[in-house]
Amino acid sequence: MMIQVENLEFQYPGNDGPTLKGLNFEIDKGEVFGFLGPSGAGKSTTQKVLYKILSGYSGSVRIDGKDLSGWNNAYFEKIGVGFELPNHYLKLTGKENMDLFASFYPNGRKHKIEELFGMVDLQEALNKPVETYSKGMKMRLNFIRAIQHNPDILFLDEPTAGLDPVNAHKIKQHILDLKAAGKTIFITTHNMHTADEICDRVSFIVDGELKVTDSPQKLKSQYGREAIRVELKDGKKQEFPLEKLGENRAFLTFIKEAEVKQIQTLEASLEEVFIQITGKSLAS
Amino acid sequence: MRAFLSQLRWQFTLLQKNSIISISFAVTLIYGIILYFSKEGGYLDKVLVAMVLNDPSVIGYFFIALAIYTEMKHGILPALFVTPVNLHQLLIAKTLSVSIIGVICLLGLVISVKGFDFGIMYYTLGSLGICVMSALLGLMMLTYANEFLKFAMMSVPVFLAFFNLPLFHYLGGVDMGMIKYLFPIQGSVDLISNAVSGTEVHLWYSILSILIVVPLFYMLAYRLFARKIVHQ
Repeated sequence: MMIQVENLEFQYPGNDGPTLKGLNFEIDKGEVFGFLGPSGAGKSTTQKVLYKILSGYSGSVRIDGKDLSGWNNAYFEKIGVGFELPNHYLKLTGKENMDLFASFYPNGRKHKIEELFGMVDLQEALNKPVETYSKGMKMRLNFIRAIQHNPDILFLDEPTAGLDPVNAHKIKQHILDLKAAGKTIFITTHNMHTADEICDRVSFIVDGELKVTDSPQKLKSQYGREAIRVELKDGKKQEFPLEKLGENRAFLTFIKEAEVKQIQTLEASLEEVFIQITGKSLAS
Repeated sequence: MRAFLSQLRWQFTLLQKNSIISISFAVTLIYGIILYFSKEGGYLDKVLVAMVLNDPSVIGYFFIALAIYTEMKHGILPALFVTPVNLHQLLIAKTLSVSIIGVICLLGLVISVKGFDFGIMYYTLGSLGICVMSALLGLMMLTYANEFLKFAMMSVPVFLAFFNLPLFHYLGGVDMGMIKYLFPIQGSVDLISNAVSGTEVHLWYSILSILIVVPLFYMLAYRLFARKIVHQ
């Protein structure tokens, strides 16, 4: 187990109540784990506790078998953090930003700078000031800065936010490659598609409480219907169970009645499951 | 030591890229020109010390705060604090970089009117004392304000107490008597005054006060910064 959290509670000074209300979850080594919830649910606060920005929490947090409070500065060599918003020295070039942050690590950078920039198609921008980058470019710089020292654990906050579909796909693929390399990845997002595509397990968090933790596939099958809806060009619609569909006479007869306009699965989307379980929308 | 020197180099790079070094040198040049053309006046030494008290305090106090507020504004501080950065090294590198710029400016200022006819050792030591103290004071004060404008407003009484009272005393505007020895920068003022005008200086007091005040200010600045900025 790489991350073990038990009864985690945290209250910001001056707040009336706790932001985190007794969270319990575990993340295995080599797992991509997603924290899904609307803004203000406690996703970022949980991550801040885990990367030691927030202290004064109650409960137990163990990282790689050792209590979080027992880790010294070496902990920060073990983790990499990709922030939700770009945060770079704008007057420095992309390379200078990477070099500056690499200078904090005793063992420096573990990958060649050109390879890192190449991973996210930023080769041309290597020596350009970050103030000339677009938001998407800055987000890609965020990502490679988080992984340049080859951390065992990655905390990624909305890793595909602000990216075009092509670059979002590339980042998701890099996350899966990192998982294949044995990295533990903790993602917070309100993007259900991203979570569905890359997370092994997800937790739904609302108002500081975890509502459910399971794999996206299990949640979708549990809360959706294993059926299809067929619509014909003459306007007729009918639903059929997926089980033994090829032997379902009613289905076979129906699709011969007229030309098929579309066939949809009735599996719930992760967003629909979220709404069913929490009664809240991710946009809220 | 290598890690610290690397941090120091990066702090100079950031100051240079944000034009803080150029601005400091430009302001010093203007002061230098004013002083050069006031050479014949009877109050040259007093004006010089008055400028010395203002220039480095601004460079140290405001520019260190400006650099950190810029890092806050762009969300860079949280990114720094999730690395193994040594907070002592970071804060000392920030303080020392603006202080070295301040000392260079002050040396330029005095050379513009005195050539090399001044006590360079005492002058440099006094200048460094003021620069480091003002930078550390800036670090402390910024932990009480979340934006630069608020910080600037809060700085008015701080400047009066820490820099202007000793200056008024030095210029003869007020007589603080023995109380002047309680001012953190008094030891540095005495050293600078001795270096440019040959006035009396209690060397043991000046050096001891710098050796006590600088670590004390640093300890306070570090604790406030760690508690209010790093761990919010």
